[in-house]
Amino acid sequence: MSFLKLLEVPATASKKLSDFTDLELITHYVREQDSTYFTVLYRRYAAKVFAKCISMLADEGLARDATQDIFIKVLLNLSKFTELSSFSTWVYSITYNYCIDLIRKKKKMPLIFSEDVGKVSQGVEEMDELPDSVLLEMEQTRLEKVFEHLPPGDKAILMMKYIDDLSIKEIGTVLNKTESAIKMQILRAKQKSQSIYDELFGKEAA
Amino acid sequence: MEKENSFQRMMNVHAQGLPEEIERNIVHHVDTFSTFGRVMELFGPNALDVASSYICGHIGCDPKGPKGNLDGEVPFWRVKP
Repeated sequence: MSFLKLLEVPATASKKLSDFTDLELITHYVREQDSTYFTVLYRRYAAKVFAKCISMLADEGLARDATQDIFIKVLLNLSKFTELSSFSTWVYSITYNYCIDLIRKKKKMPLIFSEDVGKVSQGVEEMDELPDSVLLEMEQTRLEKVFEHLPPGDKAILMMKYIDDLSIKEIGTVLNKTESAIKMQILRAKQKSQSIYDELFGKEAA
Repeated sequence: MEKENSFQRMMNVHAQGLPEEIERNIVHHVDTFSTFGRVMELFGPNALDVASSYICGHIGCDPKGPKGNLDGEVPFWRVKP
């Protein structure tokens, strides 16, 4: 078991806390039940989790509550963390899924992705690929406006790809979807972003 | 240094608004969980021992039950006045 392996990691008492790897911090926290170790983990990821929550939920108050709930979830499930993915990927996957669930519950929104992947008959190859640069070089305030109009699943998938730099396989694991479904979803999300941008700012502005 | 893309710039702006009170709340929760974990570790086994001694008399009792002790010395409180 990877968790038992964690407990075998030798103590690194001489090291500064900020130099500890995520795995070392988890090991020490689980072994010593000292909140200092978890606090370092929190400080490492809180700002990123909070930023993701704001982008997903578009509400600072909700994002604040969500950040707190997500870290409590992380704390309670720390013993379930396996080394199948990095700690950051694990925390971010909890974040995205938490936000998607929250939106689903609050708005009773059936549309989580721009289109249901299962219903798409058109192949990935047949669709026009929008270059990444269109989104990556978009003005930040405009991108925020576009994000406000995107379905939450599309936001999550774009953030995983362009911020967390996750592979298609990793995104599939986080969202529990197949790789081809994720590829299709990324294309759809990019196209949706482009069409929202065109609607908001006009085609020539791009 | 690699240039930030628009997504990363957006994240950085949002990240600056993280309120400090969340850290206080989280640390408070972590402390509570840690204390509870330690209490359980210390007193959990003892509580189970106490519960088992209530049920079967004492911890190392005969599997047949308390009556098994009657063959030996009878405790004074079991002798009828």
